Amino acid sequence: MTDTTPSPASDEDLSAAIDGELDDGRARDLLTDPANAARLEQLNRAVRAVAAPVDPLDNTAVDRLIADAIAEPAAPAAPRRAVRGPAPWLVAAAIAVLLAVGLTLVWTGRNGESNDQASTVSTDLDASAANEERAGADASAESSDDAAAAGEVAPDSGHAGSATTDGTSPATTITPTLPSAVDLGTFADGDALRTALATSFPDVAVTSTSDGPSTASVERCATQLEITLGLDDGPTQIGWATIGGQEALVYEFSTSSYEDGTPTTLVTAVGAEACNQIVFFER
Amino acid sequence: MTAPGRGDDASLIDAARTGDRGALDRLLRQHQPQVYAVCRRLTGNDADALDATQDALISIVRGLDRFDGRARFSTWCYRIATNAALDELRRRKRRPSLSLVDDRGAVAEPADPQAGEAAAQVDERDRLDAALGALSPEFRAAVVLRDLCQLDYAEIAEVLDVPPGTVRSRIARGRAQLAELLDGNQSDPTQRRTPAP
Repeated sequence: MTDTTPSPASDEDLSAAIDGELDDGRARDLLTDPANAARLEQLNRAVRAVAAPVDPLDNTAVDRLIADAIAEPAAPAAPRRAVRGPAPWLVAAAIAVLLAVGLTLVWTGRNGESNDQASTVSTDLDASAANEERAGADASAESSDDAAAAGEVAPDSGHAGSATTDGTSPATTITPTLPSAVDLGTFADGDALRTALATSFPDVAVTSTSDGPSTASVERCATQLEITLGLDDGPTQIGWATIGGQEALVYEFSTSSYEDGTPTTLVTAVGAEACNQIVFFER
Repeated sequence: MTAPGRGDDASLIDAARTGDRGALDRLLRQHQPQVYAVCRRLTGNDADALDATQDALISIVRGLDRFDGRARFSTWCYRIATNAALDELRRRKRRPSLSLVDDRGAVAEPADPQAGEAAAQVDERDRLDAALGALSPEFRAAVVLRDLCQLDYAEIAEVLDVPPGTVRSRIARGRAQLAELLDGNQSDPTQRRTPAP
């Protein structure tokens, strides 16, 4: 049996009556009952306050927002403003650099170059990233040239921690000691990997089905990530996995938040061959 | 606040899906004010609202092919905007912030209120931002979608992915808390009439 007593009414009934979400008779009873008048006015003040128009953005801001949204590539990007260091456009440019460098290295490998050369990372890449930062929003267009340049000089530059071919000092060593890589298994896609590593990085490998990536490959991608993500330290955890049929390397970095400097953990998976980014998240 | 109608959107959506950037531009321009308004009310400040709006617009562009037309496009946009704003709030939780809500839960008066209508409007807006900021994000989203966006309970349920009964409860409790905060009411919360969920 329905209680038709009009008062005292609950806030939930009064609120629904204000919104026209109560049947007409009941709403009329509540809204006209003097016992509810004061409370109704209080609630209506809150309604009016929230309903007040929001100051619109100026045209310049709107133009920029829409231009950026339309220009955004279809593929998911790394979280914006999530970590200290590169701006979103720089991350996009860096991905382009990584892709170009990776493809160049693959190409050189297919043309009879040694694997040691292919795994070499030049400090010129660092300069390339710095140049992109200075180049501003146009960096993505210019980065292809930078990437090509980096790729061209890489085979002749020193491997991290080793002597150069011309006997000069070795290139900057960014990843002097890397943790052992563990086999993380097979995942349908990047989201599945993200879910699996959402809380922690496993210390123990799943049943291994392959020999794992080469040390050179692990070092090469780690170094590139450190450079492009502006990280001070090497990875704290490394794994390998098959993601959507692609062999991938998975890294975990301890760093600090871009926004407030609090400690945070970055996890990223990249293609084992070209170091192209597959998934990137922060926890 | 009125969102563009279904008919206005359909042809633009179709054209945008075929790669017509002009249509996509117009579609985004039509819905950007509503997206920004939701983000502004939910985040409570201009900078976070701008970031959330940017994320939302990008999500709209990326997800356009997945929009199936069962809901109004504006409702779909509200859903994306709400999620973007709530994501922004989660990121912001780690940042220190100044609040106008004092220890007793009331919105504090500005220390040095300026004279003039414009200053009064700014004060009013700041008080609203602070009061809304004191609500839980769930209550805040429900109240904003109802009172600012004028969505009905069924649409809000769809946007927030909760049952309509939950929407009704959240709106009522959100408004009640907001009313207390805006009025500076220091009464014992146990004496208020909002029923427990």
